[in-house]
Amino acid sequence: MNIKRFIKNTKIKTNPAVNDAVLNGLLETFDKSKAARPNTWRIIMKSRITKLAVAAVLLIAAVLTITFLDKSVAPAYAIEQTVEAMKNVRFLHLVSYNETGEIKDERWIELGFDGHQVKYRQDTPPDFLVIEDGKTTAVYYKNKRTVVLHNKENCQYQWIGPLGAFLENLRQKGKIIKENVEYNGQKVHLISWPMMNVDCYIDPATNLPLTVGAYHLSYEQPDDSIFTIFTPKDYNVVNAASSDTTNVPNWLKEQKQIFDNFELAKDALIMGNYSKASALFESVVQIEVRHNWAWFWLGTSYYELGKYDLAIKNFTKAIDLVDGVYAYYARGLAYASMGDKEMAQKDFNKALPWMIQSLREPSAASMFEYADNPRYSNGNETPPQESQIVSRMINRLKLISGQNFNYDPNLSLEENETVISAWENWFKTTQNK
Amino acid sequence: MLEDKLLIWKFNRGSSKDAFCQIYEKYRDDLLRIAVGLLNQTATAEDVVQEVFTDFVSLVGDFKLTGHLKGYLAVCTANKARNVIRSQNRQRIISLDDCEIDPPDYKRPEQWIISNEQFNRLTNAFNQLPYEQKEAVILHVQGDMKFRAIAKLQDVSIKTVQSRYQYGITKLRSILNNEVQI
Repeated sequence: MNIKRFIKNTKIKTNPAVNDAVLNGLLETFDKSKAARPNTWRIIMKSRITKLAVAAVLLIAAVLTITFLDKSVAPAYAIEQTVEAMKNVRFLHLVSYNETGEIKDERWIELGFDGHQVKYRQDTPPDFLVIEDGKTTAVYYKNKRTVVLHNKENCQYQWIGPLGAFLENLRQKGKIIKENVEYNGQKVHLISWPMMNVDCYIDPATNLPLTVGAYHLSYEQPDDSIFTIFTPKDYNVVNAASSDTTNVPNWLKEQKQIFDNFELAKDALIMGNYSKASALFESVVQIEVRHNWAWFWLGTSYYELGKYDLAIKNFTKAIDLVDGVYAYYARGLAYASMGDKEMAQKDFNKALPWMIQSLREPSAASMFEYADNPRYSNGNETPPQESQIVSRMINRLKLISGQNFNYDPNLSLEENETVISAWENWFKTTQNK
Repeated sequence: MLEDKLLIWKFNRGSSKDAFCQIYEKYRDDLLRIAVGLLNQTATAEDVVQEVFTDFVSLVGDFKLTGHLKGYLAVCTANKARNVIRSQNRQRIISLDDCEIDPPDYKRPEQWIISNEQFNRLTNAFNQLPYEQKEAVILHVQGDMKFRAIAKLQDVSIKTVQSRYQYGITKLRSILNNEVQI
């Protein structure tokens, strides 16, 4: 007998009753999956550049198949109206501001009649500018005084990656928080968008969002020059789509390596090789300074290495770029590890409302899941089930609160109702203190 | 292999429920052995395998397989095992307000796996190997995965995986020396 054979021949026995119970549970999930996930959905969502088209299709589908939660109390405003209104949107103008009221980030998006993103412009002062004119994507590097032209098929920037999925989430899971509230001197509706972890103000006149989180939205058609690629004086033009690479500067060639490094870094992080992950993420953020996920996972790598001060620094960078609640949670953990309970609590307070909300609406935990497992972004791993998401969120809550209301991950959300209520009550109590 | 292709075809089409039951029966024990070997915690291993099947179920209708089904399921199990270990490591580090962190309450009323002496002996031996070596041995021997596939999973060269495997086998040999003749 050899060792390989010994391993192979060592059998395991299982309890037939549990086998049947597990299989029955899986078959129930099977029935739900089959009903809930038509093939076309997945096929479309796998395509990287049809996300906005999906949004449009979903919006149209939404009108046909609306099944909303609370039909017993019919509000004057319903989220379907916003979904319907967004079908007709052809231009999006998004602006966010910093604390001093200056523009932090400005974007223009032109949508085709089929919902595709046709043109795009992002201007993030002081030095980030991208213009996509429908065929070509121009990336401006002010510090290099260079504009690099890419074929749009190979290089496309977006406001939100899987916008279709986010909009579908708004349709299905969005909730009206309050109607006719005061905002900037006008009456508006306040709604919650779980997957985005943001609240939005809706204009009752148009039913379109006035704000989505920190972004202010408007829908006017811009001047043609907005989407026109131009070459500033003294700038070099590099055509990255050309097969002739003699004109491509070395720094741009190195930049291609950066994208590979980002993927390698995520793999290293997943594998638990945190030193390698931190080194690779460092190389990414040195070039891609606006890559919020690279900053975030760099923070995670340092956190796992026990370098909490560096973790905090990098989580803060990620928060500066995108105000994600998952990043506040992560930074809170780092503060807690350093013994700074006050700062930790401050950060946890930012994240806790959404963490608690996710116990009833698991899609509010999507970004926490992604932050914890970059593999989801590659489509290499099946997204977790709702029960798994809630179970993991309970573990996060236990971690930061020290509370334990005996949640049982083997029971359904309905069966865990008492536990979820206990968490909500605990949250209310802490808020009132 | 051909049987698996047929099962996948059925899984994606007409008799998908029967096909899933057959896949479950066929690979359940293999995945449990892999999960227990990697995690050395029976209850957690049971959860991991259940999660793997739950994820797999959700792919009904458009599951595409490029390699072996067993290898695919073994990789899913290994990935989930790593996530569990990572999550446990994180939980050990953090303790706000010096609170006691309770381990996740994953216990079922009844155990799925019924222990036996030989299996326990092997699991204990595995537990004395470094994780990468243990993973290489388990996935190659129990998961029937090629070194190339394991190298991809571990993000290292094939040679490194082969060395890990050899070191692992050698160490297992020394641990089980008195019980198993090589």
